[in-house]
Amino acid sequence: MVLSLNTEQKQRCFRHLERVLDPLKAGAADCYLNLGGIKTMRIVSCDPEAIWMIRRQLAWSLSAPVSAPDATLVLWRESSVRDFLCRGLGLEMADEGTEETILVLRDGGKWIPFGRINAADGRVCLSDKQTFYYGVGSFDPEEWIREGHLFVQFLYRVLDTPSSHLVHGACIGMDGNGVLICARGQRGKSTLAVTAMLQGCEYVSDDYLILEQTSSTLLASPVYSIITLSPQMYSALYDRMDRARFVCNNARKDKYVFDISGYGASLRRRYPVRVGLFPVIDPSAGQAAITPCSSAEKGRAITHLIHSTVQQMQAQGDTVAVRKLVSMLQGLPFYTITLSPDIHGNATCLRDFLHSLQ
Amino acid sequence: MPLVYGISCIPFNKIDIEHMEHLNYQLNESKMYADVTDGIAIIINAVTGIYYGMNGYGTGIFENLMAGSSLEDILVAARALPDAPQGLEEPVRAFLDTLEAFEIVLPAPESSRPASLKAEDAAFDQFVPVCKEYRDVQELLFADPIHEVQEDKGWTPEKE
Repeated sequence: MVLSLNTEQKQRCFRHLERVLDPLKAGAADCYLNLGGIKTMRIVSCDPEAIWMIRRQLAWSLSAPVSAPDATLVLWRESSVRDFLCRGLGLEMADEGTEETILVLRDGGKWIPFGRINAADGRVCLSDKQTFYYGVGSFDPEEWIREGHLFVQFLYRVLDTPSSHLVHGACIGMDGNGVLICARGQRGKSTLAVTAMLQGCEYVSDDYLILEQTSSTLLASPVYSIITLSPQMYSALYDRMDRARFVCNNARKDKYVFDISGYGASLRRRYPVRVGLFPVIDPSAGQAAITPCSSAEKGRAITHLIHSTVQQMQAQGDTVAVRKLVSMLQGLPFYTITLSPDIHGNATCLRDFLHSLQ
Repeated sequence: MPLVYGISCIPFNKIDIEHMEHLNYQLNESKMYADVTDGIAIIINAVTGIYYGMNGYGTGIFENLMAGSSLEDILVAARALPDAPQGLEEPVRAFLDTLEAFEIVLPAPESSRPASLKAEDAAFDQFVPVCKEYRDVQELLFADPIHEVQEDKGWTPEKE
């Protein structure tokens, strides 16, 4: 359901938010992020436990305090999302069946979204310029990774500049050549990233990364210092993951989340992307192979990455973002990597391929 | 500008049904990128940034078209599905008109290939293929009814 509010009603909503946050401020803690050298962000959490989880999951983006961050994210534990909606808007609850309510400011003939309240998920998201507010019923570790990471829709908005964007994918770099892996979940990208990291690659970012187009180069930067693996893959890699630390399960409890910042000393934080890679798992393949994409396959890979990104960031309909991502990607050569059951052989194949690009 | 098809060279508005049944299409690769993931086709217009999504039945038709099936091949397959309704051709033709209007597909040389459609997708989508255009955040909002908030009274009925 979409609720259209006027300016006064929006202000009333934010006054209610202030009343909710005021008593919580005394116990708040904060930290700062440097997002790929492009933007800075302050995170204020009224739940100190959340700060610990941020430190474990965003270690590569943590920074010293900055005096004027580009954006602020305020977190609090909201016990009753429906109640928030009623009191914040001065409404009697009219529709118990409504799961998601989008709040929009009516501005002439346009509606500008500024809030999303999901009673089913127990989440309140509000934004006012570059300040974002996020109330959620639970900051339990498992809740941080549900369909995507807890913060991506905020980070996406902060990083949405004319030359940069947060994307859903992975990147691996070696010998000065980075590959952007265009794949959603269950396509082997995390396993490939971990095995490549264990074979000495110079750059890894899994699940989300920042793409920045400079005048001559497409650069990748990590946001999160975590990687998610299935229990089976973790078991297969157990003996070699001596510097990875278990953080939590994901919400579905079918993946383990690891902090890989222990490998940070040998990994670079910005890396040139030279090619795109579309992984295809083939259980019958004897060994991995990398072949150039046809134009249709390249289109498929680009569509895959963009669709996955806009879905995760809830940015469908953002044609400017789609055009920007297309312009970043369409000049890259694309390859298909056929992944075999030999996970170390797959990483070796990728390493040899990157070396051959010299 | 009248649309002219490569093989028949007949302006679109002059094509009779018999000609239409044998139409073939290909992806407009000069500006469109396409992917089918988890049974859903996603198309991106690289020039405009407009993003298109199809329902399951539409995705099946689109995949068959891209594989070389003609409209007639697709209609034959659709008519053979369980509970295929009378008049199922019209929504399929409207769907193809939409794909052309969005410039997602272009006419292709005539070819024939037996089509295969999933009965469960057709039934779920009530034999109506859909290609939805996402071109504006505003339009996403309109996917839901917009309610004006009246303080202390709750929200009003759906805005006209």
